[in-house]
Amino acid sequence: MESTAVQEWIAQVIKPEQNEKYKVDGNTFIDTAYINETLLAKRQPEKQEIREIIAKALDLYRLEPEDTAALLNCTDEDLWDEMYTAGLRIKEKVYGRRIVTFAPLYISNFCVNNCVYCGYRKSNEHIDRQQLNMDELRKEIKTLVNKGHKRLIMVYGEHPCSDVDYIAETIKVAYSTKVGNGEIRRVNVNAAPESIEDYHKLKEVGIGTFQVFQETYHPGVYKRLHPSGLKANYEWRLYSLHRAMEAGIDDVGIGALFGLYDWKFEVMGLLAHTIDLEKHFNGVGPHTISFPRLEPAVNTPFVEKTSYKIDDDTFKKLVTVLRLSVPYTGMILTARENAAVRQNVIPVGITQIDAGSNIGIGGYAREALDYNRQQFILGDNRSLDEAVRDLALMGRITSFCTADYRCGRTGSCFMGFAKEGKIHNLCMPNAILTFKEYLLDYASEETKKAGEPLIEQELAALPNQAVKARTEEYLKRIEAGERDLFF
Amino acid sequence: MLDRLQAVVKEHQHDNDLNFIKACHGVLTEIYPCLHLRWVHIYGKRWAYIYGNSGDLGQSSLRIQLSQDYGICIDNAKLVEPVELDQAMAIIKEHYNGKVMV
Repeated sequence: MESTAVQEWIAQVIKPEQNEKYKVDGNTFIDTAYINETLLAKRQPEKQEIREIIAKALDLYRLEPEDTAALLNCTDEDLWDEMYTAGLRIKEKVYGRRIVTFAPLYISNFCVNNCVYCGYRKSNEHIDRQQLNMDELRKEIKTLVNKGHKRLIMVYGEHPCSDVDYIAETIKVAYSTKVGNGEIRRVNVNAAPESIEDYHKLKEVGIGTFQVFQETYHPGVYKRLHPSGLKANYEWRLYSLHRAMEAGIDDVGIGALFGLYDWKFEVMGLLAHTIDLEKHFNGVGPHTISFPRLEPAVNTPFVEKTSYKIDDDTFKKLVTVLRLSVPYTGMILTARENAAVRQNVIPVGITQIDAGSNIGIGGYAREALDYNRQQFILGDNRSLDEAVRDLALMGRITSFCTADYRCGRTGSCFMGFAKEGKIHNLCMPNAILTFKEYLLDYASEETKKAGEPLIEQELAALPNQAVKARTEEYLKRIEAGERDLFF
Repeated sequence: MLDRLQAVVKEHQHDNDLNFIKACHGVLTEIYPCLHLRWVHIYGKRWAYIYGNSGDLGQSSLRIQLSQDYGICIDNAKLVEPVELDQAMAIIKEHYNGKVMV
């Protein structure tokens, strides 16, 4: 049972009436019967049908649930190869050959929830609880800036001590902490669902993307896995990003935790979520989609027992189907996955990864892995420098670009560009410029050696001569010491 | 031409923020039909899209802060003489400063 204080806090936070306008006849956009029936109806898709759906995705149209169900049920490995190729083509058509890179920064692991799969759940007494104060936060930020990071996702436990006012304060600190040439230019947030009034507070401090992952879209499974706390309310979470967008936060990130329930159902849930956001917000869906897989955590036996864990091949398939289903949306592959999986899955359409990650509270400044302060255990422990180098060797340029959200290219504007495949006309030169900054300020000699030829290669490939000339001019100015030049 | 902008600013000075922006956008794009303007709400580092160009990307976005809360991004500012652009922006800034030019 929750304490009275926690119960009161939850009652104060949740305002169910704010969800009502988005429901149809009292129902949410997750229609389990419809999803199951659609998956069943498309259980044996024809080869021609799959190829037509691939062609539709290549034209950058968002797929319908029937299309996605057909792709999910494909059993022909040759067709899967065609889908992998299409995923890469779509990604490069919309975003170019660059990968946006960020660092996760865990701020607090106090939590009122009891999610059975999570190391941070309230009942887990094996976890060391900690919340950063502002001085500790500055140390973390400085450590990250000194490694070359420009973008963060700040992660908070769901607890009164990390309420919206605390989150807003930490964001202000993140933006105001500078080290030499370095600074954090975009702070994204992964935190508890908020009310519209509280989202306004976060908007005021200039957050980037606000992420809330539904974990599982299946209401019954959700109820079993989230027995108590704020998170026990399925609908409060399901509509959290509708409320965020209503409050004017126009870049939001959705996600599902794969391994809790049937992977095909979750992909259909993510698509339904996208469609419903687009329906209510003038065609603007999520800015990003995340698809973490369940990973081991300290004293969390559920992870070993679940029968819904998916293997690496299936994981690659689900990422590919998502890429094809929502061709214009950013897709995030985190360091939960090991380096080999990441190298294998990035080419099917990933746009963002984290690197040099440490998910222990205060872990960057301590430069230590501490499983007792982590939500789960990371699979990829490469440093940022190593990850940047490996991407360069794969022919992919690491982007630390944050220009879009500083030039008003957010929400419907960004989505308009992205849907027309125009965004990479700016993203690629901005990737080149931020990559150059990184190589000059933070990279090892080995990484510089791998990265410099890539800059030349991507510069030569810029199709617009005027953009190319300006990029060359900016590169010279960066070499002369200027920073933060962008299109 | 800037007289027309001044007149519109005066006419719409008591409108809500979005209507005021739409009115200014209308007259600016009437005076400079090729200009790609994007109005934004400023939240710290974040310049969030409100209204205007979302179809044509320019090479370089000129960012002009109009007030503590509002700004404008121009994707092809070179099409207008800098002095003239400054004058136009000054008229709108005056509105946000609470000193509407009459």
